[in-house]
Amino acid sequence: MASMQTHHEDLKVIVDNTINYFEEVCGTPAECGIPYLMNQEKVLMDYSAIIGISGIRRGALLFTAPRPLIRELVEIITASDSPEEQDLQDMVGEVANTIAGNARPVLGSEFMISVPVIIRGELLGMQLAQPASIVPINWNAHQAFLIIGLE
Amino acid sequence: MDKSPVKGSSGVFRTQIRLLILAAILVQFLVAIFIFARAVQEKEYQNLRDQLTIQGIGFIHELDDLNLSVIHDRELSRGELTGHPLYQESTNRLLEFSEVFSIDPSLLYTMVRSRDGEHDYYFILIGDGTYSLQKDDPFYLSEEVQPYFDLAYETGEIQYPPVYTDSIGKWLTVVLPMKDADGNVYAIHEPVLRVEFVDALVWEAVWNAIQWPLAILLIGLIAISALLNRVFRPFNDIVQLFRKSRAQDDIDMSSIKATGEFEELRKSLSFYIDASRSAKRETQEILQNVQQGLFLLSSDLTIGEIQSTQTRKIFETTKLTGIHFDALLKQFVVPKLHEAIVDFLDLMFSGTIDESTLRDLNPLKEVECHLPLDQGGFVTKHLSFEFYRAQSLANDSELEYVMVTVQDVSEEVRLAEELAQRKEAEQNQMELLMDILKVEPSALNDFFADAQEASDEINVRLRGTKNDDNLHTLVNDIFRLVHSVRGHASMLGLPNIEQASLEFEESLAELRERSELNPRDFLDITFHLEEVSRHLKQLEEITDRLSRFRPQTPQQDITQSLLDTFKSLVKDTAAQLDKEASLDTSDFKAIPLSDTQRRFFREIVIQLLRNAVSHGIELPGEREVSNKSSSGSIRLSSQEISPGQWEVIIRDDGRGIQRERLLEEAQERGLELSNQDRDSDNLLKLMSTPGLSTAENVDISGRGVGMDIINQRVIEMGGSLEVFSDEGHFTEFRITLNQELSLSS
Repeated sequence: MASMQTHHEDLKVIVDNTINYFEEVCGTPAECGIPYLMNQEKVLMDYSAIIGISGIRRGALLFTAPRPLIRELVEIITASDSPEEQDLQDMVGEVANTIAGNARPVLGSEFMISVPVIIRGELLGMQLAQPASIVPINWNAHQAFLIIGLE
Repeated sequence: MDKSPVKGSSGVFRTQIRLLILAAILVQFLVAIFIFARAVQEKEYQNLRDQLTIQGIGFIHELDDLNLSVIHDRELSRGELTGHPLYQESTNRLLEFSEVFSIDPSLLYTMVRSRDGEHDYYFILIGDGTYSLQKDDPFYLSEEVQPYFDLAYETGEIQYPPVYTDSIGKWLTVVLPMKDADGNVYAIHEPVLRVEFVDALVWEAVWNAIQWPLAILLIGLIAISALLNRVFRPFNDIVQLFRKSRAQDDIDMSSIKATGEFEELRKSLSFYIDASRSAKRETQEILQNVQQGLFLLSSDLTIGEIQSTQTRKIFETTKLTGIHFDALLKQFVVPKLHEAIVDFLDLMFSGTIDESTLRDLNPLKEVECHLPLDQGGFVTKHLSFEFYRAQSLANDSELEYVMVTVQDVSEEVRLAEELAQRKEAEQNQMELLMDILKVEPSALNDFFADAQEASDEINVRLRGTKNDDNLHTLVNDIFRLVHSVRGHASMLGLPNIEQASLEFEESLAELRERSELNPRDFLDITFHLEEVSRHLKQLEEITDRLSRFRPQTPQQDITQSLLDTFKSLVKDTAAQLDKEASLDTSDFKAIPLSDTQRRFFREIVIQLLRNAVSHGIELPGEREVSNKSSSGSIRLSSQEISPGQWEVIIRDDGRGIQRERLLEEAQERGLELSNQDRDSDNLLKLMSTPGLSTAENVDISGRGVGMDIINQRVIEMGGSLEVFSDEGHFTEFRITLNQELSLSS
C-alpha cells in the first residue's frame, strides 16, 4: 500500500510539472482542475500525444489539447501570428516531451517512460489502462487534459 | 582482428615503396632540369659565337696609379680573329668562353671563375686576337691580387638587368692583374671587350635540353614499372588477399601471378587462407544459427567484434562491437542491478572464486529489460544471461575474456506470469465466489447497485466541481458515500471491496484533516475510485455468471435473508470487538419498500446495528459489573402504527450514549454548544456532525460519519429519526416512515 501511495505522489509530481510547463514557457500559470475517472466518453481533442509507461505499473500518460490552446502556445513561443500545421504538431510533441522528460527522474528506475507518440484524431487501441484518471488543465480560458491510465 | 600483423606491415611497406618511387622521380626531375639548363646555355653560347663581332682591342702594360694608357688600339676584322684564343672554344687560359656567366659588370672578374648564374640573356666578352698569354709567358694570372674593380667601372655603362634591344653593344674595360717572374705586379688592360646581348633560340634549346631527360625518364619509368610488376604487385596482391579474406569468402589465390620466393609465399598464404576461410565459414554458420545471444567481453567490459545474429536481435541494436557492456546494461536495467553485475563481472575476471559457485550469484539470471528502440519507444523483454570464463589459447594464466550467452525468455516468463495470474485470479474468483454464495442474490444485487451508484455519484461530483467550490464539502460527501459502501460490503462479507473502501476512507480522512485542499489532491480520490471500480467490475462479472444459475428469491425469503444477514453482522462485529451480542428480530414485520428504499433501509439498519455493537454494547466483564448478562441484546422491531405509517426501532441494552464524552469531543473540535444541545434532539444533531466519533476502533464504525449518513438517508426516504438514551441502560433509535407518501412519490 505504501508503494501505491508513493506512486500516487509521483504521478502528482507529473501533474505539477505539466502545470508548471505553461508558466515556465509562457509566463501564464495553468491551473489543475478536479480530476475524475474516465468513462466511455471520447476525450481526445485536436492534438494528443501519448507516453507509454512500463515497469512496476504499466499504462500510459496522454496529453490532449484543443487546437486554439496549441495555437496560442505556438504564437507565444514563436512570436508568430500564423503558425503552420507542422508547428502545431511539433508543439504538442514538445509539451509531451517535456512531460516525459520531467517524469523520467521523478518516476525513477521502477518506471520506464517511452518517447511520446503524437496522435491526431481518434486513438485506436488506446494503451491507457482502464479506468483512467482525467486531470483537466485550464490555461488562458482553454482546457486540456492529462489522462493517466495505469494498471 | 583489425590489428593483424599482416595489415600493419603491409601498410608500412607500401608507404616506403611510395616514398622511394617519389624520391626516384624527384631525382630524375632535378637531373633533367640540370641537363636542360646546361643545354640551354650550351646552345646559346653556340649562337653567340656565331654572332660575335670584335669592335676593338686595347692594352695597358703597366698599372701606374691607375692611369691607364692605351698602348695599342686598332680595329680588327673578323678574319683577324680567327685562331684567337678567346675566340676558340675552351682553349684560352685568360678568359674561357664557357665560364663567362655573370651579367653583372661588378662581378665580371670574379664570375669569370664562377659557374654560378641563371640568366635569360648572356653577354659575351670578346678578347684581343693579337695578345695571348702562354704558360711560359712572363705574365700569369695571379690569384692573390685583387681585381681593380674601379677601373672596370670607369666605362661600366652596362646596366643590370640588361634591357634587351636588338644587339646592343657596349665597351667595357677589364683589368687583369698579373705578376711577372720577379713578383712585380702588372695590370693588363685586357682587350677592350665588346658586350653584346643575344636572345636565345628557345625551341632549339628546349629540344636540346629535353633529349636526355626524356631518355632518362623513360628508362627510369620502365625500370620502376618492371620492379613494380615483378616485386610489388604480387606482394600487394597477397596483402590485399589477406584483407579480403577477412571480408569475404570467394577469393581466388590462383589469380595472383608470382614467381620465385613470392610463389612460395603465395602457396603458404593460400594454405593459411584456405584453412582460416573454412574455420571462418563454420564460425559464421554457428553464429548465424545459434538461438542465443553469444559474445565475448574483454576485461575492460567491452563487447567483442564477433556476436551471434541473435545477439543483435535480442538487444534491438546492431551497434554492439566495442560498446561497454555496463553502459549497454545501464540503458535497460535498474541501477541496483547494474551495480551488481559490474561487481559480478569483476569477480569473474579476477578468478579468485570458483566459476560454478560464482555463476550461482549471477544477478542477470532472469531480468526484465526495457530496451530502447532505434525508431523511438522501447520494448520490454525478459532476458536470461549466463557468463563463462573463456581461457585464452595464448596465455594460460591470464583471463582475457568472459563469454556471455543471453536468451530472450520473455515468452516463457509471460506464460508463467499468465499462469500465475490466472491461478491467482481463479483463486480470487473462487474466494469471491464463496463470499458471494453466502450472500442472498437480491442482497448482492442491491449492494452492487448501491456501490455502483455511489461510485458514479462520486465521479459525477468530482467532474461537476469547480476549483472555487467548497472542496471540503466534496471530500465529506465522498466520504459518506464510501463509508456506506464499506459498511454494506462488510455486512455482506465482501472483504476485497471492504478493504479497498477502507483504504479509500483513510485517504479521504487524511484530506479532511487538511486546512487547505488543492485540486491535485483529488488525484488520490480518483486512484482509489479506480481501485474500488475494479473490484466492483470483478464482482459484477461473477454475479452475472451466477445469476444464470440462481432462481429468483420470493419476497418473504428476501426479508428473512435480510434479517439473517443482520444477525450475522451483529454476531461477527461483536466477535471482532471481543464482545458478545445477539439480535432479536421476532417483532420485525416485513415493510413494503421499493428497491431503492430497501437499499436505503438496509444501509440505515446496518449502520445502526454496527453503532449499537461498537458504541453501545459493553465488554462482557463491564456488563457483569453492571449486573447485566455478559451477552448484549439488540432488538430490531417494526410495526405499522397507522396505515402507511411505519415505525422501526433498534434498541440495545448497552451503556447508552455517553453524552459527556461526545460533548467533550465536540468542544475539542471547536463546535459551539448551548444548553439546548444537551437534550436528545440536539444530541442527534451533534452525533450527525461530520467527523465526530467516540469509538476507538476505526475498523468497525469509528469513522464518525455513520450518523449523518443515517440521518440523511432517513430524510431521503421521507422519514424521520429520533434518538433516546439512558446512560448505562439503553440506546434506542426510532425511525418513522411514511410509506404511503414515499411509495406514491
